[in-house]
Amino acid sequence: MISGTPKYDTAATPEPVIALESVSKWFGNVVALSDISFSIGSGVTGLLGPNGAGKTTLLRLMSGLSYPSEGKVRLLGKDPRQDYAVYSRIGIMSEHESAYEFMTGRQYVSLAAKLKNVAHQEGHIKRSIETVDMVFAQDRKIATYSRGMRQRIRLAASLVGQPDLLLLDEPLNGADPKQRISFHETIRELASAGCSIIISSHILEEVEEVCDNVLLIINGKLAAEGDYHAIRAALDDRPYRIRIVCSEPRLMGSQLAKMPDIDSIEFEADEASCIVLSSNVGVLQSALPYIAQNHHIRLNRVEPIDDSLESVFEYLVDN
Amino acid sequence: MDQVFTTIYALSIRQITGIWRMLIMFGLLALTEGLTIWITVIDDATGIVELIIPSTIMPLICLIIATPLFSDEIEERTLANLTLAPIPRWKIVFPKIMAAVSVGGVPLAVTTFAATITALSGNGLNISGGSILTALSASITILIGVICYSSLFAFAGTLTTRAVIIGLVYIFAWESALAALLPGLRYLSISKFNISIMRWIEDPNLFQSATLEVPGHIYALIASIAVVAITVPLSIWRLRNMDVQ
Repeated sequence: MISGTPKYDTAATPEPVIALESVSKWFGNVVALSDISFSIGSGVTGLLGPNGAGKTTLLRLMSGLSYPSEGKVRLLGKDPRQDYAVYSRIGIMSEHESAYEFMTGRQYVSLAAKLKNVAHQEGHIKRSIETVDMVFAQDRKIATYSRGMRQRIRLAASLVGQPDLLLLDEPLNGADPKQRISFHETIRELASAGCSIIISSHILEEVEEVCDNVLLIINGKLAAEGDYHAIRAALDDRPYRIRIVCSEPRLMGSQLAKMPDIDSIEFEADEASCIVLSSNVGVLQSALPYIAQNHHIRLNRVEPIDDSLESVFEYLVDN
Repeated sequence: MDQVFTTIYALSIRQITGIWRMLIMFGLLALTEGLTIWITVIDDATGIVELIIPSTIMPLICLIIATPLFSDEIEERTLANLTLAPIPRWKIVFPKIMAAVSVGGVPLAVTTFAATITALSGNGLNISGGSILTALSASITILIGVICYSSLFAFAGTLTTRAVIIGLVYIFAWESALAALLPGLRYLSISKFNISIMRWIEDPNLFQSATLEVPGHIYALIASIAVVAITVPLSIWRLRNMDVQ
């Protein structure tokens, strides 16, 4: 249970929590981020994109770990590379940062509290460790922790001092299902206490659980931003390509062609399957067994072809 | 003292006092004292205090103690724990260099003190107030050198994770081999600055073994201060401007 409230209620101010203005970042000839501008208010925001899209680079720029090659980054109205005091109001858990292996979990959280010069440190340390459910292992060396435990103790360190803003890069890497549920609860509680949270992830469903808004990053560009549910609705309208492997693909295709929600049907060269493009997968799923039964067609396999996150993002960008 | 300062100081002490580093450091110090005792029995060992310690033992110890201050943090991806805290960069650099000076400088100063006493006793001098003062002066001079080398190697550690290799090249190629071929390099050598300062604050008659040419003591003092005054701000600047992993 999260107790206490952030020192600074980000929901109560019109000032954007994070603002990026024409930010680009390149490494030699490689452009990692290109001309990204947005501002984020309070609430939970998901930074979503396929692996290699530039999420981590963007989060590193937001947190001040890296300089933009061009443009401006403002955290709570301050430039984190110039005004270090802003870090007293921010908790950051970057993907690649490591904890000190020779410390115990408690010592590591205590270090974060001391570096932040948090008042009443013992209480904050205890509460942070309890929040991530690591009390049982707090006196063990971090070197002995599993990947999920390391993530949790790093999350505890970022929570210390009740930050106004949390930046979390792939926080659920290595977490098991129970830890995921616990993490989602923690995020909701922190958000309801007034903490603004940015979570980066390449898993759509992970973001769906907790985020009000999303930023979609593809190939280093901001592809879409806005309310998660609006974007999800756009996703639901997306036509899906389904491969149907069966004994009579042409007969199956002719029957499916009579359905209103089928956009196109292609037959593959092996004469053992057909590819159906449909904007209503639910209806297709219900109809397939009946068609197969009525026409004595043996269904061998039904599989989505392009359900990868990349194709989902491409669809959203195109639309 | 400031809580952040003491926290980073204590953290740095813990980081640089790994078992292998301590074994190498105390091995080098034991070798120095052992060599001094052995040579004192058969000959004049003051050259160890005046030459071997400042030009070889001190830079090597500073190298193994000061380069990991930042290079290990960068390599192990722990530096972000410090740079994402609400603290000015000088409060990261200063306690780290102080930690290196404490861990490397104190044992070096003690060893220098013991080696000086040993060497001077071998010259037919009893352990007197004069020789203790000489040993104390030698130790303080070595501490000045430790501050210079620690600042330099700490800065090297902010530039590359291969700072130890660069430091070894600097010690053995620049300060030894090249300096022997090009006498002008004594004006760009921390160990020569240190030897010059040592000769200046000691009784010159006590250290007669060295024939090495060194810069004048005023130049050496100013140059030593300049090394610290340049490399410490450079480390702070580097921390401000680097992309932290």
